[in-house]
This record gives sequence, structure tokens and C-alpha cells, in this order.
Amino acid sequence: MRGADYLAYTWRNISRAQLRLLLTVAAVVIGATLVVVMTSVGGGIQRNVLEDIRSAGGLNEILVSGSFGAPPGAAGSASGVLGDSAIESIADIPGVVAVLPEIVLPFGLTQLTYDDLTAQLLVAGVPPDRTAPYGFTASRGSVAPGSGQVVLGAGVAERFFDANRQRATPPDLFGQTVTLVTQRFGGGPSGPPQAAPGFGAPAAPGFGAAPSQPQRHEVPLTVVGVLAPSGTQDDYTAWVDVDTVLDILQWLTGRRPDPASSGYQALRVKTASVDQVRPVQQAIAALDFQATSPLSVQDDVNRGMLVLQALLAAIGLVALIVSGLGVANTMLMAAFERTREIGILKALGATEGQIARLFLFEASFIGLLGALVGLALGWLLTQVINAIVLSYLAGSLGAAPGPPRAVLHTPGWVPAAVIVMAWLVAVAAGLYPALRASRLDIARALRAD
Amino acid sequence: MQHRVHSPAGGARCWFLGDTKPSMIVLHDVHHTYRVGSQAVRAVDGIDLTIDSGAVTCLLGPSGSGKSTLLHLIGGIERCQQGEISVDQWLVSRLPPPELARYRRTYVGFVFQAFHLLPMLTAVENVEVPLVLTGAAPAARRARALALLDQVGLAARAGHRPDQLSGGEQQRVAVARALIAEPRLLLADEPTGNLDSETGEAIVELLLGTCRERGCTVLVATHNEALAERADRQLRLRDGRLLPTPAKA
Repeated sequence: MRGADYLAYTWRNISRAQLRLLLTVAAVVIGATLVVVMTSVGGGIQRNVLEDIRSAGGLNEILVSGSFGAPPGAAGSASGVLGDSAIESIADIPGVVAVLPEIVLPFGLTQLTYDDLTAQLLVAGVPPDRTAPYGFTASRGSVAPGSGQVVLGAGVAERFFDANRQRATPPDLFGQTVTLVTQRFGGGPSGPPQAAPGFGAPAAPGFGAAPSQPQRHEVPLTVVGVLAPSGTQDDYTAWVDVDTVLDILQWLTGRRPDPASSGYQALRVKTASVDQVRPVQQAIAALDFQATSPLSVQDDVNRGMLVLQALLAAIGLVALIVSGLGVANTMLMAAFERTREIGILKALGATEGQIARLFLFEASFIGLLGALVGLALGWLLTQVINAIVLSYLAGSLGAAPGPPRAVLHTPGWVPAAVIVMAWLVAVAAGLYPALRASRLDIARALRAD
Repeated sequence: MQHRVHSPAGGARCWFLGDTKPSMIVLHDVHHTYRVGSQAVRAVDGIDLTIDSGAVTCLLGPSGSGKSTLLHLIGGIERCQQGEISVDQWLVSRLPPPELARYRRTYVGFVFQAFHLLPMLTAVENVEVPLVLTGAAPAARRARALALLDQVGLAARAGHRPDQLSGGEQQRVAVARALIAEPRLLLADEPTGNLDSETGEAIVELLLGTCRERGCTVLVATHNEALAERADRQLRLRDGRLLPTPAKA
């Protein structure tokens, strides 16, 4: 019997019970849709986490963190100090191209204002003479911010909102004066200063303290350069010289950190190539410094995501397997209803194998149809969810740096996997009915109603 | 004269035949019993029979005499519990299931009292079924099916489904289906049982005329005495046993 004939007979038989087909396929559709959506959740998490990692820095960069901010004499303050000698030691490691010390103010601590526009962004204090050797390139002006100056990342201008919290047309800031604004909520002139998270400053006022008026610290800065786009978090960073950041921290915490004694907050280390990241990272760890790299984090994330993806896919797979019970029931009903027809076919010379294959073709059809519709529905759902989330994020003033990202992402392997899984479940479900039908006694089957 | 009968699956048996004429169908001490609840019913009780090639033979007898069962046993629809049945080169009683299916598919044509057409197929598609099962090319099998429908007078109804055909038309389609694979043996179980006399007569005419034309061996189980009169030989059964009946001259 030819394949086309199996298909033709399958279509004829399935067309006779359309409602039953619809309900059976619907169960498979639900299972397939769930697999798509659940794996897309995992895929979205993985993609966004990996993009966060990549945007934090290039894959050939290593971030060395130290004990910046701990008061002198505090336990552990002597180890991990990223001072000049640490910088020299790390720069001497084979494979290291450049080292950039930095002190970064956390996102949300400061705002950049220009006329009545406001932007939230990262502010990093760096030695101006180290930015060019590290590889910073400017699309306009200079890469080295001197005193009273700022170099902006390529995407900073897009981050401005107006007084009505609407996204503003990106202003041309090159050569303009912008203001770095820091706020604190102190208890008045004599009240204790506020925390600068991560900088070891005094804690916030205790519970029950009377609410205080915010105090503003404004630093006017001239924009002397705009960096070329890098595709990383640097595009949404303002670069100032170290002293500007230290001044802000002193105003915030009442204490001015000293890089000479307590070192820098972090060192960015650039390697000659991605292949050298791991050996350089190990060498830095051997110097008793904490070093992380987007590459190693990416590897860890990928490993963890595999487990997460598998778990999420398993949830969807359970639904798919349950739908197989529906397929089995439908095929058993079909075998029962078509007893006489099976007898006729066998009397005319159909083998047991041909009868079984007819039923397995029907089961396969149900599985594949359910998989295809489920794939389409799952894709549609992910698009709808992403559209809703993106629409919400686009209007959010407090969004993190970078363009809004979709939360669901369907990995490339999912469509094929869904089709194969649905087909296997359907065929497995149809196996018993197929074998039962194929072994019917011909004479008894012919006597059936 | 001894005839050596070979099973397609291998092995050989020798049968002593009292007749010098080569016999197509040979039954030797065939028994077949049904279980109905706790009771055993002897449907075929020790039948010895030979039927010549090309002959039209009628099986007559009251209901429950074993006519249909005998047809089923010869046609390979059921397997006898005791005895031997050989049809030409096929040792039917010993064939394994796949070979039995091949025997039915390529060697035997069936016409049933209840027509037994597949309801979801059209008339021409029903006729094609035996060739579909053999994997014949679609164009060739469609052409043959249409030619046979034309021969039975139903060319204009090729696209109709069984529920759109009369009883007589359905049986014509069944006859065409039985003949499409050019069987050497045609088994008809009460082919006119569900038809009025006029229609039944037409079917008989068609069946016997077509088969004689093709040189088919025909075995018909029937209550229809008029049909029996037209057969080359009449065999009467009662309670699963053959009654002595002289062959027609």
C-alpha cells in the first residue's frame, strides 16, 4: 500500500468525526503551546541574562573587585586593595592589554539634567589618562574627562525624559553644560548623611525618624566627548574624572574615600583575545583578587539555564503526554466503531501491518496537526506577551539602561522538538489501538454492526 | 493418480485423488467448531470435497448448515481446526497470516450478502481497494476500476458513495471489487440475500456471466434455487456435513 493511499484513507476517516478530531487535536495543541511558552520563558531569561552579561562588558574583559570603601583598619581592608601596585601587578600578566581603574556610582543615585530634561544613568569615575589606552573611542570630541568635564556614552542622549515623564527627543549635548544631580534625605544640617550603597557609609536614619526634605548636590559638567557605540552598558554611562565621584561620595557619606590607601572600587582588565580571558582570570585570582568575567559568567549561566530550560520544558511535556491519553481514547473509539470496516479490509487481503499503519497514520496526523497549531499559537502568545511588556517598559522612567528587551524568546531548537515530541506521544498513544485493530478476527469483525 | 500439493511456505504433502481430472479445491476431513457461550457448535463436521477448476458450484442448505463457514475456510477468512484445505498451489489451512492475506488479496474475490462496501469511499474507490492493498499504480488501478464499473453498468455512479446507491447497485460494486484483482477463485456468500428477486436475478446473471467469461472458479453459498439450477454442481449441507448430491452432467 502506497504512502499516498495511507494519507488518503487517513484523511477520509478523520473527516468522518470532525468534532472528535477537533477536541483531540485541541488537547495536543494545548500541550504544544505550553511547551513553546515555557521554553520561551527559559529562553527569554537566558537571553536577557546573557545580554546583561555581554552589555556589562566585552567578552575579552575581566572585572576585578576590591575592598573599596572599607574604613582604614577594618577587618579585611588590607587584602584586595586595588591600588597602584595591584594595577601594576595585573598589567604585567601575559595577555593583559590594558587596565582601567574605576569608581562607579550605582544606578539611580544620580541623575543627569539638561534644561528641563532628566536622565538616569551610571556615572563612572576614571583616571582620564587611562581611557584612551583602554580602547575608548570617541565619535565626537575627547575620551578623557578632565575636571568639570564629562564624556558621555553613545546612548545617553536617548535616556532623557521631560517634566511630564515622556521620553524626550535626544538632545545634542556635545559642548553643552549638563548637571550631575545627587539627592540625599538627611535629617537637616545636623542630621546624619544618607547611605551610598556599597560604599560602607553610615546607615540611613532609623525607623520612626521624621521625614526630611531632600537635599540636592549639583555638579555642572561640560560635555567634551561622546563615545562611539559599543553595544554594552558603557553606552549608557557618563564618564567623569575620579575626583568628581569622590566629591559626590564625600557629600553623601561625610567621608572621602582615598584611592591611594583604599584603592579603586574595581579594575577593568582587557585581554588581547577571548582565548586569554580564562588564564588571565586565573592569574588574577592567584594574586588574591576577586575576578569575574562575562565569559565565565556566561558559561555558568548557560549551564544553569540548561537545567532551567529542561524543567520548564518538562512542565509543558507533561501536558503533551496527558493529551496523548486523549489520542489513545480517540483511536480506541475509532477501532471499535470501524470493526466491520477492518474486517472488510482484512477479508480483501489487508495485512495486520497495513491495518496497524492506517491507525498509526491517523494518530500521527493528530499529533502533527496539534504540534503545528500549538507552535503557531505558542508563537502568537509569546509575541503578545512581549508586546505588552515592551509597551509597559517603553514608558517607564525608571527602566534600567539599554533598550527595552522582550521577556520571552523561543530558542531555535523548540519548533523541531515540539513536532517530534508531539508526534512521538501521538504514535505511542495510538500503538495499542493500532495493534488491537490489526488483530481483529475477520469473521467476527464482519458480523459487527 | 497422486497429486503432490506444495505449500508456498515449503514442505509437501501427497493426496490420493480418485479422479483423474486436476482439482483446484481440495478439502480433506475438515472440521471447524464455534464456541457460543459455553456451547460448542460444529459448523463444519468432517467435510471431504474436491472442486474442479473453472466450475460454478453452489452450496445449498438451511441457515446454520455451515455454508458461510465453509466459504470462509476456503477463502482463508477463518482457519479450520482440523483437516487440510488446499486451493491450487495454496495450502490454505497451513498458511501463516501474512501469506493468508496475500492469498486473499491476489487469488480470491469475495462477494458478501451485506455487500460490505467501505462507507467513506466512492464506488470506484471501493472497487479499487484490492489493488490499493497490493500497491498498484493509481492511474492503472483507477482505469481498471472504471472499466469494471462500466462492465457492471455503473460507470455513471462511479463517484457516488454506498449510501447513495441502491442495494442492487451496491452489490454490483461489490462484484466489480471482487473481480478487479483477477482472482482465480470467486466466493459469493448469499449474494442475492438482501435483494429483491429481479435485482437478484440481474446480479446472478452478472456474476456467473463475468466469471465464466474469465474462467474463474466460483463457489456460491445460496438459498436461491434458481441460482443453484444454473450452477455446474450443487452441494447440499446439513449440520456441517455434506449430503450426497450427484454432480450435474
